[in-house]
Amino acid sequence: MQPAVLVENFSLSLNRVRILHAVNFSAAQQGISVLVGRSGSGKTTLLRSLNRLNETIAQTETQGRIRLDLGVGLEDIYPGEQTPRPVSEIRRLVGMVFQSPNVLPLSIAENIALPLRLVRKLPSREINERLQTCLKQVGLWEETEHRLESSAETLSGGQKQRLCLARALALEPALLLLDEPTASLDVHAAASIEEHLKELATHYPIVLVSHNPRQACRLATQLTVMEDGKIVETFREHLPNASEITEMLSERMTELV
Amino acid sequence: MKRLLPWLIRLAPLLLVAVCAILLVFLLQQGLGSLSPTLLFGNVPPLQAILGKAPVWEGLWPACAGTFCLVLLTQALALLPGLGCGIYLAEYASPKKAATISLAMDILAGTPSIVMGLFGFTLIVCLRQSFLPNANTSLLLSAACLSLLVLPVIVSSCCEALRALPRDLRITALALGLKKRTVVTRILLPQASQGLAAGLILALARSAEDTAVIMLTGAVANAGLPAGLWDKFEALPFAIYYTAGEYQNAQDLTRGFGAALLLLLLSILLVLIAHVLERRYLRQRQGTHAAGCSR
Repeated sequence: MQPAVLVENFSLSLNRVRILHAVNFSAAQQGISVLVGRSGSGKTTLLRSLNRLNETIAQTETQGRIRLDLGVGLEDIYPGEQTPRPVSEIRRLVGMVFQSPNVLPLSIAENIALPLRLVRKLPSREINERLQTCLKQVGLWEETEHRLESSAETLSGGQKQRLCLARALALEPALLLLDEPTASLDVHAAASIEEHLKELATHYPIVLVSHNPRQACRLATQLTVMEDGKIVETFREHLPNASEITEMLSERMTELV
Repeated sequence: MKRLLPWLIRLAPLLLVAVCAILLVFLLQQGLGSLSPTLLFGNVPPLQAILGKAPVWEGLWPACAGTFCLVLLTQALALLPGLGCGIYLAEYASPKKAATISLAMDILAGTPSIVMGLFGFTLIVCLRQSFLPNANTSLLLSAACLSLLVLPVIVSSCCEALRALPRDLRITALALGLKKRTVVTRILLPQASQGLAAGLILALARSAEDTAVIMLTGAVANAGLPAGLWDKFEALPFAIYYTAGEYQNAQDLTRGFGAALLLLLLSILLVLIAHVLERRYLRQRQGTHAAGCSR
């Protein structure tokens, strides 16, 4: 089956410092591809390469190819032989949820409605329908139904992160990127997000960065280990357990030392 | 010295408040007695004066109206270039360009207002001698010179307000597929509205109080209500300045203090209006509960 993400010999420099070195990576159409590695191993940079978000942070130079299936088969997202889609369209089609739940400083409803209005230019009736659907999809509808006009800042950490997930889903992405989405949440909120991610993985290809070996084991259908801007190992079958991942990461660290 | 420093630091704000309070009490003491409809309208019935049906020679109403028009016109002229430059500096300019623009703004900010007044005066002289022989000092010229004077305030407050926003906000909005232009106009600018409003209020107060610019570019002692952009006008700071220099008796002096009090009240009124508008806007935009705790 054709992958949803195909990264081939991709290297990336930020402000002339090489961060990713000839990375080869792919993610399936369904399931959760988890990237693990120590801090500074390049996981987040690789994730942000998939929606060209690195370009918003620093001066970026790239080599190699990244192709994504954004609905019409694999297509290049960086300029090469063909001119890619406008970068704003790529980002709209690649939903992203960040480590800290960064809601927009607006009401709960507007957090979902504003991007729909500005990016998709949908009529308000459709926006309202989609708002409800997406909040239900992440289990937030019942909690927020009566206070949609309240500031999103009044939500708890877990609720905010689910709102961010709903906001990404509302834009009808072809791929979901999650950068340690439970890192700043308590155990219960994290478990709730994980449940929703498992459910979503049956409809969307998901690439998830995780610091937590146990979480990686719980969620992964594919596990990729990164170190020093390179992919060192990818497991598609017979995934390692949490202690094996921990051991693997510390071994690599010892080798480096 | 080390022991003294914390006390000096605590003393500084107290000193500021005390100076303000003394100034206010002094002004109230001297000017409060003169605050009456007569101070504003002289012997003319207030309604007729406000509607411009009867000229006011003895009151400060024309000066109030002149300052009000001047302040609004100055804001109208300075707002768009000021915000545009601030946005460009914060969001689009390369570090090299930003440094050049900032230097230009610093020079403009450091220009004494009398120099700006002379600039306006020289400009009108040049225009008269070249292709606009009928050009004269006027409300528009005063507002244009004042807008140059307040431009750096608006630019730097806009730039600082945008730069103070968390970087995550930009990244989040861009990650949603919003174009940079949309992120700036629909997410960042509204979010920076408090900083922007503070800058605009500062600019507004600066343009309300400045005397040096207007005395060389169009303000006169007796012009009546402002008749148009190309006409001379009266203004409160000029009335205060004029009274302070030319008063004949104690009554004139009290009238001068009354004018100072009026200028203070007018400034407070404008600031309050700006504040109320801003609060209403924030409540509407950020959803309930947010506006209350955002300050």
